[in-house]
Amino acid sequence: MSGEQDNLKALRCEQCGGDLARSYRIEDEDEEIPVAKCLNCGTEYDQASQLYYEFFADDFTLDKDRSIFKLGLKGTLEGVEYEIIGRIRFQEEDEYEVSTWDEWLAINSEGTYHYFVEEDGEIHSYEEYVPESIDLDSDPGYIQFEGKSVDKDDGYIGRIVYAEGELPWQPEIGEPVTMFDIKKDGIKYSVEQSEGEVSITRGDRISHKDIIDAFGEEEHKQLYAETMAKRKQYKLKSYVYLGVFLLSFGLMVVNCSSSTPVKGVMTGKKIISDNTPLVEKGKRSFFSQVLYGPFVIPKKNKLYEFDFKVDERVQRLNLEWQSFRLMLIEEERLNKASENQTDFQKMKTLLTNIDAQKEPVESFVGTGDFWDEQGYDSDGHWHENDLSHSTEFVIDKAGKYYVYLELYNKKYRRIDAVKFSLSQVGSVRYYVILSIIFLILMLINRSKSQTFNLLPFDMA
Amino acid sequence: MSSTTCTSCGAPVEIQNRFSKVLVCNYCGTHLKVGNEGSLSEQGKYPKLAEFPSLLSVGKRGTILDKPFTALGRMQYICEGARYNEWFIDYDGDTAWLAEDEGTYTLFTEMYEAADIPDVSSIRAGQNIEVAGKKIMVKEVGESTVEGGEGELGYYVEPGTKVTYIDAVGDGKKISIEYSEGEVELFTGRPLLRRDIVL
Repeated sequence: MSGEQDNLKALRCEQCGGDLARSYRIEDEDEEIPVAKCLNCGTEYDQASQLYYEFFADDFTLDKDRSIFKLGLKGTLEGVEYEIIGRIRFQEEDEYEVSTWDEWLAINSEGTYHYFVEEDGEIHSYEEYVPESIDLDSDPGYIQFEGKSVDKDDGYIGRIVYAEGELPWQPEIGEPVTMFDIKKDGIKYSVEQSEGEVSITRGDRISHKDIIDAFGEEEHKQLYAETMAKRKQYKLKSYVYLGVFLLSFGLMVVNCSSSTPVKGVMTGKKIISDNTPLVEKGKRSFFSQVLYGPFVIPKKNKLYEFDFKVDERVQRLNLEWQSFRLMLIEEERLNKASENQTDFQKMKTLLTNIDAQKEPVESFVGTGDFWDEQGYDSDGHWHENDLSHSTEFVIDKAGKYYVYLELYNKKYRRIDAVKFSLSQVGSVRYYVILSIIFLILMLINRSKSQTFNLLPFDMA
Repeated sequence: MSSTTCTSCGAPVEIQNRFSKVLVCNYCGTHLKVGNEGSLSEQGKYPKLAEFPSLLSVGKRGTILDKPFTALGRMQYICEGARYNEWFIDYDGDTAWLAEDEGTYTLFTEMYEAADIPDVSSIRAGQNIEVAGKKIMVKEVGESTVEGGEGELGYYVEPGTKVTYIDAVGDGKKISIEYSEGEVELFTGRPLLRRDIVL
């Protein structure tokens, strides 16, 4: 085989005999497809050509020694002694990245050939299988295998990229083999079709433990034990994180669904102004001011939520908008600023010019919009609206409060068409953060429990 | 069993099975065609078969799938540099063929005339064909050369003859079709595990 590898360095263009070099072809606007290109005539050899695999042979064999198997290795598996005598490495034709698997040929003490297939960290033992029925030909789209239909599009082409040792036939680098992997009743079958032959085999997965016990060196056995111990630790951790995640998530749900209404927030309504016309920048609107309260906010440093909505039973919002601004004002501050609310005009002036106060009167400010719109687009007529709004806050002082509400609307609108409520709600923010953190930790540890590996070869 | 002598060298030879058609003299290598009433006629002298590791030897006895067998003789073939044997055996009172190829074993117990086979040059791997009333899928079409034989054989093909073979599967059985000397024969059988053969 080494003689053949030397010859590969002298590969020539099949068209003109010119030198070949690595190049790329651009496909799908930005995808670079590796090709071997003739420097003389420009002929390109891609994955569909045999010469491509001869030219790029080194790329497919960089990790060829990263396997538990090697030529001459002996071991006893299930009481039968095997010796590894050959290997064929395949690359999947459709994959631009390296996607290889190895078929190791072994001869056992009974003189029978046996294949161990190593792919993606798994090892399967394959032997010849005679199916009850198989039909590759009758249906252009499907294979029939013992009553099971297999889509021919699920097949793939494997190209031989490396061969070593004693093999019962002479493989050629780049030789294509069409392959179908069939799983039936939990058993894996492989149908391989090359130009002159069809082979059907049945595979059984063999655990790495059994393979290492049979073929592995002492060092491999030690590393395997350490790997499995570590994986077990990660698995345990993932369960712990899963438990904490579920707890956080549960508390989040509980807090989300629990709320305590604050009573009497819309009682004691005082209308400061009712749809006063305004003209701003040539546009006309209406402005209303209402004072609600007092009501008691029972607990400080808790999360509260205002919910606003347009009550369409009172007045529909019809292709128009309405903005609002609400202020939560402590009774003590309002009384201090308005001389205990004894003079209505003074209080009106205070509230109208509340933004100009030297010191803030309000404890919380919230704003929002309601709207109702329609239009036409490629799908036809559309109509949308937003008739509700909510906002959350934390107050640092319990006690009596008022709500001062300002309403701006495009058209005349009844003040009592806007309704609001106030509730003490559960805080979910921290539970959300905790849930996300523990979910991520759980996933990381779960992944490590399946992939952590100290061995010098892949193990699923 | 009948005893006689080789018509070439005079060495004693025995015909163990009444269905044997060819007997290879173990002393001089002459191929002797067995005629009616046990008469022998020389078909040619050929060199001994090349050394080839095999589970069996002429005269070996044992059981296959718990049924008694005796290895009567073998045909050795060569195909693309690889050799394989077809052992003519007495299997539980009947004749059968045990194919030994690259460490795999197949027991062929049924034989059919396959005159209705399509033109072999048009047959390819993966194709479905109907032969001798059986629907089969072709696994391989190839050509091998008869290297020679030893012991007693159920049919005769002169060493050096090219034989076209078709390996196929159908109805859960392995199928082997062989073209030689204008004859086409279909054999059906089953694969064996090594442990199925007890010597």
